[in-house]
Amino acid sequence: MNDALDSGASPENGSDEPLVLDYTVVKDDFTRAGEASGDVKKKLRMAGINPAAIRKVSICMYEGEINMVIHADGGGIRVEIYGDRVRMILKDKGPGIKDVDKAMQAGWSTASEEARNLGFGAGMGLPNMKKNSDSMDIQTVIGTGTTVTMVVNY
Amino acid sequence: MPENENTYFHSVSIDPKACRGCIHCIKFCPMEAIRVRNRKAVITAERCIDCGECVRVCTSHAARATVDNLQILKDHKYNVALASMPLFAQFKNLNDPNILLTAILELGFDDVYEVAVGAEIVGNETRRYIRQHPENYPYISTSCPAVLRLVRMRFQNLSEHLLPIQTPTEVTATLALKKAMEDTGLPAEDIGIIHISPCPALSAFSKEPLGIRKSKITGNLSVKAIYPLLLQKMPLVKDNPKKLSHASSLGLGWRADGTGGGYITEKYMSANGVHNVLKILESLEDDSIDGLEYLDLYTCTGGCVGGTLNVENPYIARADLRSVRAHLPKRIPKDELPFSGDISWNQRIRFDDVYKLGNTMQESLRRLAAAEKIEKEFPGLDCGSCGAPTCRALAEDIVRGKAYRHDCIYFLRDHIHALTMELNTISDDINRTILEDKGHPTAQQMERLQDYITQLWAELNELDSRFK
Repeated sequence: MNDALDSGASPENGSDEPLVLDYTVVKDDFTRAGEASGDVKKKLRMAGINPAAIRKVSICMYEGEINMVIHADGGGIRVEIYGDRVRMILKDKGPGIKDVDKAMQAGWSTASEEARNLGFGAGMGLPNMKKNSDSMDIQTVIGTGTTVTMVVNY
Repeated sequence: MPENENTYFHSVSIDPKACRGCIHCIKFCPMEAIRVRNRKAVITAERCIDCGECVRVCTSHAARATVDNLQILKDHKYNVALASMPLFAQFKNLNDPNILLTAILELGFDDVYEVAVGAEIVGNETRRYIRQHPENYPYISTSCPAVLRLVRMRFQNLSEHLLPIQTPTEVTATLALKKAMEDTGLPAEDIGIIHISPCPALSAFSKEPLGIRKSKITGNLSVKAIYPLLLQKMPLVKDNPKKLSHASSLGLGWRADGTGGGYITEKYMSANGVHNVLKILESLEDDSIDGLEYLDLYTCTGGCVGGTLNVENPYIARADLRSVRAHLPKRIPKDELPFSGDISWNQRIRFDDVYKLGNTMQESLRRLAAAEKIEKEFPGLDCGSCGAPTCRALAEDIVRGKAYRHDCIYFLRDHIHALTMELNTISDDINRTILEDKGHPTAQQMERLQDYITQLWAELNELDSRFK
């Protein structure tokens, strides 16, 4: 019982099995937005990943979380930490994105008046995520939800 | 491990004789730097930023800040006191700062210099720097050494936002030393520059500064140690104080209540209290702070008047300081501002990485995965009985090889339960041998029985030791 390390399931030398972290995002709860990105940031720091990559991940995560709080009925975030990259899968139940190309334009937003009054909805969410990730994929179904997958390499 | 390097001088320490091994400080330490081991709190030096939160919450006064005493005046031929801004906030109805300054001379100092003067110079330089360097908005004030150490330890990404300007205390030390050398003709090594400090962070910083190679401050006294002495001297000098004050209302209020930020730029934010500061820095790192040019951050609640070496409550102190400030000119006239020379940083800041769990990324990642798993074995109560602030922190200590699972009393209790169940099975086994098979228990059976009893005994002893 004294040896902690034997029991840890871990990405061993050579294998590409990631460490998986799961988070739940609650609709309309602005006070909790940022919890997941903060936790991931802390853990990446412990994993000794370079600060510049950590910052990219945390910006992607934070923008994604805010998007889920504002636009969707909440959802879940899965973070997979590999030896050379982080993959973030943000899956929401929500209205879907009608025009992905438009949503990718800086400054374009469908955020409610309420969200805008709080300083959100500047239309920088998706563009910022795109800018800070090394690859980004958006799968969206109108009336069902959206899944955004982003990868940051390090 | 990276943890044994990069240790620097600390002002905050825990006196093991006074510590009763409670878990107050480990819960409040913003850096999770304290553990209780063998019923004594121990600070992990490389994580400590000398913010003094532990000093604030320790009920047995075991967590304390080490500063010098008045004996230090004997070390130099000529001594100048640096009167920090919060010092002026400790007294009721102080309508003339000269009374306080004259009383300081009565303690044996040859001269006294107000840090508020340095603060005004730092303010002017900050204003100029921020206007000329729009590239890295918002700039983080580096006047609070605990904030600077915090950024250095946890926010390497924010390095370009750090304002590369010396602290008001250091700038004042430079001015005071220059004046003392001119006044006396003595060389620098004969002059003591002694700061009357509101907090352990500033004291530690003068011993091991960042941004400059060496501080000109030769010693630190605490506001609270000087306070009772000044209370005796002030009535004696109040009718005929010397004209010593040069400070303005702006300089004196600077770090006391965060209103100084408005002088730098209208687009500023002032935040104090270490947990608020942490949140702001996290937000800045997440890119969610927009449109600001300057962040005036202090780890103590209320700003420097909240420092743990002060006497008065920070809010009362602020109110008292306002009444002193009312008697001062708004600003020091331009032609009366002393010339300080270049007050920017001249040393690069090296960033620390005290959080990674292993030596290589591979090891760190493996340990992180292990910590994720181990954390789930604990009850999640964050009770602190193991000596770590949270169950999560215990899991991290375990993967670093610094703690064991059975440090958790709940884990230990469950283990003891499991052992007794197994003991029961073995004794049933032996019973069956004797009663049903009419035989004798084997040596092996007896050995196993003895083994389990020994283990159980050891674990019960360990559990007991937590409550002795």
